Amino acid sequence: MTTRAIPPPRRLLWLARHLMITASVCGTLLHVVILASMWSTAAAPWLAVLAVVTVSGNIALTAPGYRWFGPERAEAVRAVFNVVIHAGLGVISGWGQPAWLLLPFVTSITAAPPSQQVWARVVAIVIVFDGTALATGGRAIDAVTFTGVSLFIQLLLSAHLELTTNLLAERDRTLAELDAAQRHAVAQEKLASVGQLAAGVAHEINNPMCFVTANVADLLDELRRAPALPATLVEYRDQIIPETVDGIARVNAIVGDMRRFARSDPEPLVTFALASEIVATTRLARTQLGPGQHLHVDVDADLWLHGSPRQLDQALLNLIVNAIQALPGPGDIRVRGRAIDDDQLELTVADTGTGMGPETLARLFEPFFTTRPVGSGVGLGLAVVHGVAAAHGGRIDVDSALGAGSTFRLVLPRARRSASDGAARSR
Amino acid sequence: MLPSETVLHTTMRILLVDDEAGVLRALTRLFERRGHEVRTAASGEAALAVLDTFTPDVVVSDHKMSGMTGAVLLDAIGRRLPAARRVLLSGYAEVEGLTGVRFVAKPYVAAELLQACE
Repeated sequence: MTTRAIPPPRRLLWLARHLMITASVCGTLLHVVILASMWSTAAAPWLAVLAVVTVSGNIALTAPGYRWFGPERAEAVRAVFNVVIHAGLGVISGWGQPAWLLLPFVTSITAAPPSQQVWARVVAIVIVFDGTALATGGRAIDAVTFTGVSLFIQLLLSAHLELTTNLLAERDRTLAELDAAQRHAVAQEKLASVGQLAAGVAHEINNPMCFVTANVADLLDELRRAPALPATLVEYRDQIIPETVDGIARVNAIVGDMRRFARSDPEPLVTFALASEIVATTRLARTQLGPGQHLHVDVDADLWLHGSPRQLDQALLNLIVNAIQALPGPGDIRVRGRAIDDDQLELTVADTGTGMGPETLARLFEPFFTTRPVGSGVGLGLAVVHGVAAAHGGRIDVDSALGAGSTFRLVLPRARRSASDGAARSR
Repeated sequence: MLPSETVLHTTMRILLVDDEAGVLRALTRLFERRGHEVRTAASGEAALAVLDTFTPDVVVSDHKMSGMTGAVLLDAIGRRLPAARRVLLSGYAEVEGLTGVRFVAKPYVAAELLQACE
């Protein structure tokens, strides 16, 4: 997925820079105000020392501190440093209101996105600060007021950060969904254009194959009827032409699959019961099971489809044969048919076989894509399943990973049972 | 069985319609060797013209042809010659409202096609 990197807006950079400047200036100013208000007292030299220590300590713990300790620990150290210094400042200055102002100031610059750690830090600062104040002559009304302001500011910051984080997560999710939808659309378009090509090629091949098939079959008939053949023609009669007829039948089967993939053959549509089709098809497929391989079938009764039972049989058979071939030895194949809701049903074919990697998955439904050795399948099986699913107004998806088996899932629209169709078609 | 009935069953007048000459020849051979009287047409329009001079018992037509499709042709013939048996060769095409027509997949199997024409 390609996420576009969005540069931080200039306004945000401006705010960040001015926040830093304002924090430094205000912090320094608070110290100056406290120092000025107590200029003529004995505490003044101590306050001056604390002011210098505070400012230089905070500067040291920001940029260099982040480098030495990492941002997380630097902020923790800074919080401890600030609370100790400022509580001390409160004690020395006798807890005037400028000293209390340092409480929301210190809690609000705990930085970092809101987390339990940050909240623990804020609460610890408040407890130490308030505790020291109340034990050394601070007024309870100031403690309540400034603690309230501190918590309010912290909650406000947390709310804004939470909102931003959620919006970003939502944006990422939307982008991912859009990306998936786009990929799906591109894949569908590709299959549609390949389908058109396949339909065209199949039609063009089918026409000459029609008379080639008939002519070669007639020739074989004539040869078999002829009373006395030269030795060379006997070989044609017994071996060469029968092989040619087989070859022609294979070509015709491939062309037939291409037409089914391309959906160029509209068929009579009927309403039929899913269960009876599955039972018939699985009976056929069971003959291909190897030793230790089991086919489990579980289909809910009273599920009806509108479409072509012959095409659906073909799709299901292709899926089951693929599943059998994915089993390297003993294993299980599960065919499951059930209602999703009132409008849709799903038909899943799951195997415990070798599974597929991402490269195979990406090209799975392309016609003539095959993982089998040359000569043992042309790669039209799943393309046909895809075509059948689309022709029935449904879709197919697959869930697979190497070594974890595969599950193919056909989602099809449900039909309402109609008595006449149900009676007309019985197997 | 009366001799006249035997004759009716064994020799039929058949009109074959396909735009592929090779297919027409193969079909002609198939039916002529069984003693049927065959006429061919390379398009739906040509087939309708043949009807002026030839009244077939059976019409076998391809579906996908340039110009008139087989379905349209067989529909028209069905109205002109209600007694004629009509066979549409081509895929599994089912056309809305086209009744009384038999379908045979292409490439056809000779036995299946002969059965559909009987």
